[in-house]
Parts: sequence; structure tokens; C-alpha cells
Amino acid sequence: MKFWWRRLLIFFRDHWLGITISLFSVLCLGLTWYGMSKLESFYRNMQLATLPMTILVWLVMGAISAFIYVWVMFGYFSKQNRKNIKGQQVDVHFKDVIGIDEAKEEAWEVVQLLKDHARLKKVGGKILKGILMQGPPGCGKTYLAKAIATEAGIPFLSLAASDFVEVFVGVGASRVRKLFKDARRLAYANGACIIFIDELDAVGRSRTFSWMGGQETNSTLNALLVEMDGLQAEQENVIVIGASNAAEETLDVALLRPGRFDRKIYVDRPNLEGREKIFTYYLGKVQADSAIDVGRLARRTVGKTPAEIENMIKEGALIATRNKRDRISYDDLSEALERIELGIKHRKSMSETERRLVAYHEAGHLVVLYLLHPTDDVFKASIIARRGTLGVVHHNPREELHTHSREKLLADVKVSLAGYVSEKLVFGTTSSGVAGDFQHAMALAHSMVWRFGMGSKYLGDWTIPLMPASGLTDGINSQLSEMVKGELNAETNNLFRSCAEEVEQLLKRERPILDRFANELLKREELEYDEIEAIFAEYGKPHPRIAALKNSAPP
Amino acid sequence: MLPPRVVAGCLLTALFLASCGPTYPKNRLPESVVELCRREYKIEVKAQLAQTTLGAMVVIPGLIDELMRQAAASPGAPSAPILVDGQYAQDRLQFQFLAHGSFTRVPQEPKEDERRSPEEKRSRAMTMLDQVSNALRRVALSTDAPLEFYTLIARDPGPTNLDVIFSGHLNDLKRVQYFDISLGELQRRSRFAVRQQPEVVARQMVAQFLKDLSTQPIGQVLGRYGAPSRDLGALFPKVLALAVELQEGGREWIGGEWHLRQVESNRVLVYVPLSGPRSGRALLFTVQILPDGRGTLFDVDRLEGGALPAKVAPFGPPAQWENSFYLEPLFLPQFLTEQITKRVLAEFQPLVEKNPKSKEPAVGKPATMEDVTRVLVETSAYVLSTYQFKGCESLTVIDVLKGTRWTISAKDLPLYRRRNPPPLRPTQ
Repeated sequence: MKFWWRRLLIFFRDHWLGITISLFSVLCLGLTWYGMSKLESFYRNMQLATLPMTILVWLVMGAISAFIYVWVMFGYFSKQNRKNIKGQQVDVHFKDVIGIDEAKEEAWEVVQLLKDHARLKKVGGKILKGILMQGPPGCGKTYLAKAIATEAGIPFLSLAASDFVEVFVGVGASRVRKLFKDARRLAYANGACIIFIDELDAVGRSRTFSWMGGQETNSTLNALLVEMDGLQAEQENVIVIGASNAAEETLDVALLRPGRFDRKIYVDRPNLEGREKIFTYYLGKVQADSAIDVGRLARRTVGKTPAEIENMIKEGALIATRNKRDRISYDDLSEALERIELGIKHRKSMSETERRLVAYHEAGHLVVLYLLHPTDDVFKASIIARRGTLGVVHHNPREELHTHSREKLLADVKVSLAGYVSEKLVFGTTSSGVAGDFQHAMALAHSMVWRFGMGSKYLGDWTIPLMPASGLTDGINSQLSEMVKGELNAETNNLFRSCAEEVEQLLKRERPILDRFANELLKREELEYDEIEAIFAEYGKPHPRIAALKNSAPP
Repeated sequence: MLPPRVVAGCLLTALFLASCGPTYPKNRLPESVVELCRREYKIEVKAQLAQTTLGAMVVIPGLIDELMRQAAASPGAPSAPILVDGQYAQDRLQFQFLAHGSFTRVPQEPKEDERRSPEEKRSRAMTMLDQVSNALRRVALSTDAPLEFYTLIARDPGPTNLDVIFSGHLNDLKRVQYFDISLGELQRRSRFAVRQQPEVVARQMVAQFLKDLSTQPIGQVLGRYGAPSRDLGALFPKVLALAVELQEGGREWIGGEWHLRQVESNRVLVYVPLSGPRSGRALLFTVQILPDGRGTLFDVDRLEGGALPAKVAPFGPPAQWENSFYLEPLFLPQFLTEQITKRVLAEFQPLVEKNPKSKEPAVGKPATMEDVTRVLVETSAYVLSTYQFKGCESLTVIDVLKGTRWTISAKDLPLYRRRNPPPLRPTQ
């Protein structure tokens, strides 16, 4: 209750109109009651009978007047969709933020600073001006901001940066100024205030200085820059938290300098442990089967964000409901994941030849993936059409990979080429269905040679001389010679071809397995992880990773 | 814990509900009228409740003079030479009419009461009349008693000895308040009557009777004063005893203060205390008022020791008779019958024959008996439907002069409210 008198003052200043109207209403009600009680019952009943219609007429008239007044006097166009939320109302605590422990720790530090800003001032330090949260969408940036507001217990003004944007020039800047004005008032009354601007890149992108528009965005950003660290008569503790999915480079450099967004918190996708916690948290909120293996789910959802995991459980609940079950099972979640990852099944009418072609194509991918890929596990193979594809082999890395080895990339190229090789090997011809595979494989092979130095002759990133920012090209003439380009392309082609040959060798060698998988797919249309494992085991081909584990296990 | 706005709403509702009871409770209606007139208008009135009729009586000096002055100032349309008599009996409404001259329809124009300027200066008598009328209406409207009618008797103590009686239906008052009907329409629906004050008639009749009894033969006196409905043979001994007593003691015995009280619409009790050697005794006359306003002797009793007969006991001791008055209860069928009659008469006026030398246009074409019948039927249909009166099974109209009769069933009556009503056909 340190600032109670300030709050009272601000409250009266902010709500003087409401208070006056309330007092006037109470007075009117009192007088009405007094007048009514003095009326004879017939006239009183008469008044009461006509009261609803009178009130309705007054309400309509009042609404019309208020609408016109607000429109004319307050400038409807500069009104923004801002939410003024008190910390207690947000009610998201740090214990609710799971799976992003590192970001949480940094945020916690911010909260401590906010709570202890008196001591910070005594030391002579200054409170943080801004925190920039970055990371992929759905990882919990907004959630973390809410937790900061709750734990710090200070007012929280939330809005999306796109709310600043308006077709009228100057409106965005005026909205920024109004937002900060309100925030300062709240900070004055409560010690500090947080402004949370979601999707900051909508206004925070690098300014462009041209005659072709963009002036409105520039002026909005300029207003934001000034308000965050400009000349102010009174310095109040207003902390701006910005959230953006865009890369840091795309944001304006002035915005990122110290004094504005001093601290950057990277909110990344959760790791295995984080995903397990998230699954446990969300499954705890629904009726789920206790036998669900959360670890297995976490392994299957590498790279998934908390929002995607939440969506997966929501989808699982829908599937369980559709199947008339009261609890969500592992199968429901598995189906939900496939639906999200692969899309909804579309049963297309296909000729037997075409079906065989697709089956061999997918079987090729499957066999090569299983036998050659060092990091990925195959979870499912299917020849049921989804999302514009006629079949799919669903695979995921066993663990988070932050760098990719040459072997992994080569394996990716080989897996992509396996469909093409399989078609050629079995049918002596190929189809247009390989286009997507080639695109993926070519991009990988090209990057390996051109950018990652994984070729045999050239080292370095040979795409740099082609970039305008490098200064090695004027956009038309690059300092990269045609000969080097030719050799790099030749090397890419060699890598591509050698991969294709290796795949061909493998599939020729494992033709019985290829045929078996193709026939199984034609028969069952879909094969699960366990079924795939069993068939390989039949042929004495256990998974190389499992075999390696067995070999290394102590006797 | 309820939200504050719910608590505030409940409190407000409770406050409003707390003040929603009737202002004038049914168990003290007459007292309310008296108190209201005394408190707000400083006027002394008497009030009475008779079944569903609340009535008040006020003495207004100069009322008749004022009414006469107003009538002279705006005479209105003269009465048409037509007599209409309405009766409601055995669920049947019957009207008889007799025309004794030429008459025509009154042209459609605003009625006198609607043209009158509201700023017109009101005399003290009219103000008093309005104030008492207001008080009576206010009490009648704001009570929980099942009232239907109100009646105001304004008594002029002047030499005319007339009472002016205003009556009306409470629903009409409510409809005026809600602007459903106009003030003019309210006046057309209200009942207005003038009568000789029954007590004055009775007093004069008894005084004259006693005077004549001491000077004229009993048979002659009885023949002149005896009520037509009374068996004179039964009355003769009582009158004879009274005549003997008067001859013995002379008229000096009759010297005390008389008390009078109207006990029925046409009956008045006259209490005459005796003095001298007959002190402590009294005479009780029952006077019957005939429809023509004349008083007749219905009965006379000799009261020994001041004891009142059982038929008089409910009215209390004679000394208090003047504190109350007789209020005749009103009933809807009779009220509507009178209203229809009044409305029909207001529709006609005498036909003024056009002077051949005059340049003035003719007033209107002569009305026929069929016109009267049609107006009667249409007015009845209108009045019965606006009061939603369901007790009438049929309506009969009789032209007394020609003996023609029209009968319309209750089912067909609403048809005569339409723009194109069906033709009227005599039943015989």
C-alpha cells in the first residue's frame, strides 16, 4: 500500500466522470424513490408502468448521444484495442511456465529487478527499459510475459503491434504516445508498469527511407523509440516487453540498442525434458489414460512447440470423444499427431499400376531410411493420400539436432532419392511423383557443396559472393567465376549421382525386403513403427541403432 | 458473497416495493376522503361507502348560482323534443322513445367542454367543487378496495335547496390518466343529476302536514299527504292518535330541534322531539319522496322515552344523523343505461324551420324514428363494448308512438360498431 494516495489521485483523475455520473445517478435514484413514495399508489403504479419504456427511450437516446460524442470528441480513429490488465487478473505464475526453463530463469531475474527496484535505485542502477522476447511461434513468449506481470504484481498493458498500424498517417504514432502516457500514469500510481507489445516486428522492422510510402510505419517506430528512451520530464518505471518471431536482423537497429531493449530472451522450442513436462502438464488438465508413455510422446514430438503439443492433446480429446471414450489414450494422441503432421486422409481413386508405383516409391524411402539413416526413426509408412501427396514415410530425429553431420545430410539425400531409384529399379521408368524428393535432395546436396564445404574440392560458403550485402557483387556481376560455379555444380551432381548409385545398390541387394514392404503397403495401406520393425526383424535386419546398442551392452 | 451491484439492485427493489402499498387502505376510505379534503383543501366534507361506490357530500354556497351563470354563458344545444327511457332488467336492455316534435341530428363539431379555455377564471364554488372532486377521485384510485364508482353530492344551502350529483366509473378516470380517452369523453361518460334536497322536502312536508292536521279533517289530510304505496287504512289510526294529541296539547309541543336522515333513495326519517308535558317523547316520520320530487307520509311513530324502533337503530341516535348522508350505490347496468340515454339525447336537437326570407342555410334535415333507433343501437353497441359489459343478452328499442319494436341480440350488437352496419328491421 505504498502508493495508495497516488492511486487514489489517479483513480479520481481517471474516473471523475464515472464518479460524478454515479453520484448523480444515486442522487436521482434517491429523489425518484422519495418522489415515488410521496405519490399516491395509483400515480406511482402509473409511473412504474411507464418506467420500462421511459428507460428504454432514455437508453437509446443516451447511446446515440454517447456514440456521437465519442466519435466527434475523442477521435474514434486513434482509439486502440489496448487491454489494461492488472497483474493479479492475469494469474499466470512462473510455475505454470514449463518447458522453457532457460527463458524462465532470465524472466525471473527481471521480476526480481522489478520487485527490488528501490534497492537498485539506491545502488544507482537503472531499471530495465525493455525486454525483447524472440523465438518461434507458440513457444510461450506471451505466456512468459503474463507470468512476469503476475509475479511482479504491477499493471500490464497488452496490445499487438499491428494495433498501431492504421491507414491514416500519424495515427500509429499518436497511439504509441497515448499508450506510454497511460503507462506512465499507471507506473506513477503503482511504482511500475509493463507494456507488452506482441508481434513487435509489425512496427519494429528496419526503417526504410524512400519516397514510396512506409512513412506511417517509420513515424510509429520513431514514436516508439522516443517514448522508450527519449527526453521525458518525469522518468517512470515503464518496462516494454516486445515479442517477435522475426529474426533479430530484421528489426531496426535503434530499437535493439541498450537503453531500449536492453535484454533479449530467446524462447526456444522445448527439449525432450521440456516436452515431457509439457505433456504431463497438459495431460493433467484432461481425462487421460494413466498408462500413456509421456517419454515416448516426447520423443515422437521433436521440434514441437508447447502450442503444438497443446493442440495435439486437444485434437486427441476430439478423437477420443468421436470414438465415444471418456479418456484420451496413446492411440488418440498418435492419431492426433499424424493428423497434424501429415494431414487428413483422402482416399483417392487410383489404378492398380499407380498404386503399385506409389507403394514401391514409399517402400524405397522406407528401406533406405531404416537401413541407412543415422539419426532418424521411421514412425509410419502410408500410401493413403494426404495434403496433396499420394504417400508418405513419416520420420523424426530421435533427439534434438542442432547441427547436421555430413553423414546425416547424405542420408537425407539418399532417402529422398530412394523413391526415384525404387521406381526405376522395379518398373524401369519413373514418375513425376519424384519432383518433391528431387527438390529436397537437390537443395541439400547444393548446400552441402556450396555452403557447408562438404564437397571434395572447394571449402567455404560460395553463396556469399552472390549476396548483394557481401560487397562481392553488384547484383549483376559477381566476383564468383563461371568456372568455379561450374565445378561446384559438377561436384553437386557427382554427390547426387553417387548417392543415387549407392541407393540403387542397396535396394538391389535388399529387393526382397523392398518387395515385401511394397506388398504390405498395397495390402494394408499403412504400416506402423512396430510392424515395420517386425518385418525387418523377419529378414534378420534389426535396426542398426538397436543392433549397435545390443552390441555395446555389457554381457 | 454477492457482488455489490446485485446488493444495490436488491436494496433499490426493496425500497421501491416497500412504497408500493395502497395509499388509502380499504378499511378507512371515507375517513381518507374527509382527511384529505381537510388537510389539503381546508374543506369539510362527509364521505360514505356504499358497496362499490365511494361518495362524498360537500356543502358549497352559491353553487347553483354559479352553474346557472355558466349555463347562461354557454347555453349549448337545446334539448330535442324527444323522450328516451332506458331500463335494464333480466339481462335485457330496453329503450323506449317518444318524439313529440321535429328534430334533427346535432352537427359533428367539438363539444362545448372541449372548447372551453383552461385559463377561464374559476369561481370559489367551482374551485371547491373541483377540489372535493379531486380528493374523492384520488382516494378512489389509490386504494385496494374493489371500488367501481364514485359519487359527489354538492349541496347548495341557498334558497333553491338543490343537490348537484356527479357520478362516474373509476375505469374512465384511469383511462383519462393514460390518455386513452379525452376529458370531453369522460364528461360524456359521467353522470350528472340535479335534485331537490330530500331532507328539505321531508322537513317541509312534515311541517305542513302537522299544520294541516291541526286545522283540517284527518281524512282530507291523509288523502293529501299519504304515500301512494302505503295502505292508508293501517296509517289512519296512527295519524288519528297524533291528531288527538295535537288537539290536546297544541302545536307548542313541537318545539325542539328536528333531526332528519335520508335512509333510502326515496325515504327520509324525520325525528320531531316533543316538549312541555310530552317532554322526553318524540315523533318519527317516514317520508317517501315521489319521482316528481314531492314528499308524502309513509309512516309515523310515537317514541316513548326516546327509544328508537329497531328499523331506525342502525342509523344511530338522531342527534348524529346530520353527520352522515345517504349514498346510493351504483350498479353498472343502470349506469350504462343512463349513459346511453344521455348520449342519445345529446345527438339530437330541435329542428328549426327555415324562414323563407332568411338567408341562413337550413340547420339540417329532419331526423326520423329510424334515425333515433339507429343512434340508440349504435350508441348501445359502443357503450357496452367499451365497458366490456357481458350481462346483456339482447337490446330492445320501442317506438312508443308507432308501437314499432326492434330487437338485437348481444351477438349481433358488435356489428353496429362497424363502418357499414347491417340494416335495422323491426321485429313486429
